[in-house]
Amino acid sequence: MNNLDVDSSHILLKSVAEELRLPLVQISRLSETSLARGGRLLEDMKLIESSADLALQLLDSYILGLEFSNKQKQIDLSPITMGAVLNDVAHQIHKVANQNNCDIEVAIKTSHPIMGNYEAIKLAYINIANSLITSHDANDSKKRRSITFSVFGNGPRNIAGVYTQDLNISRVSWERSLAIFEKTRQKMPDFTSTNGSGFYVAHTILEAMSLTLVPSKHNGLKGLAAGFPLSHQLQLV
Amino acid sequence: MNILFIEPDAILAKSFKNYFSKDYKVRITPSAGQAIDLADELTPDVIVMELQLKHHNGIDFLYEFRSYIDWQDVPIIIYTIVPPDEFPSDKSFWSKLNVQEYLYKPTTKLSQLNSRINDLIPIETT
Repeated sequence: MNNLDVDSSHILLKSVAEELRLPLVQISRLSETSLARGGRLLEDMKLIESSADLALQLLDSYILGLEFSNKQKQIDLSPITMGAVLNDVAHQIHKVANQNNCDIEVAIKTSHPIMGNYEAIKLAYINIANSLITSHDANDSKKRRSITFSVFGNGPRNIAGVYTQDLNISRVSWERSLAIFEKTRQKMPDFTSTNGSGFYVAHTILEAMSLTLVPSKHNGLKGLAAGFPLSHQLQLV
Repeated sequence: MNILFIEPDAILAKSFKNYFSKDYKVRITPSAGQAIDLADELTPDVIVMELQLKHHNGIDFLYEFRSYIDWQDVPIIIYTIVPPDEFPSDKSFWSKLNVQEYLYKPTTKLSQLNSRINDLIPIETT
């Protein structure tokens, strides 16, 4: 979806705006519950903070994806390692993960540098991770989950992915979800009850950098990953 | 009084539990698939449900749920993130499914939901 046309931009904007209703409703209802029932103020404030953070990250990512796609912003590249990006992402999402009873694991198997835009890739992976964490079922709050960030070398590429349990994702369901994104309210019903804008925004950011997000498996977990080409020049340094 | 919430979002589910469990027995399920089993177990006086669910469409669930003879009369309140204007304005659409209320989450506080629940709960006679 490079160079988002006007219709697609509007549809993505509408979708993100709809997705933002949820954290705002969460904040409103948590505040109401706290005021009405009392005694849980600290716990509720933590949830409110996490809802607000999710909303802000989605909003920032949407704007960045749109600017990249429409070439309003240049994608500056610099030498980075995906290990550093994923460690940073893991740090950024730890509050959201904690609020959702989710442990974070980071498995870095390669430190080969790539040429990439650190902030953009970080935002894309934050969105994937947040979307996976919040896709977990509500009444399983006592069950601890985990979210795993992994990067490993595979020939001329580093594969960097985010994985979790009980994710009903396959190449077919992912491609179908992308294909119907502009045509339906609930775009990704196989793996989230939200409209899946976080996944789609991540896809848009990575696609603007000629990277493809695909379903992937890691140690029995399912998730989404992208392959980052190694820079031959950096390998010589 | 038993209320069954069908709510896929973990934070809202927590909020419902904290708000309503003082006055009612509250059970929450994230999925339509589990709701029918839970309804058998809990015999809810009212069901409050989101329409936008994982795996299932809430409308499909309503058709299925109402097809069971035991569950044709239990009051259902839709409490959803889906704007009401996405459905026919004709009230017969909801009355066919015996839905008592359609409440839009962004503009309906829990106190308002509570009032609607109170209106629907049968008065106990001694």
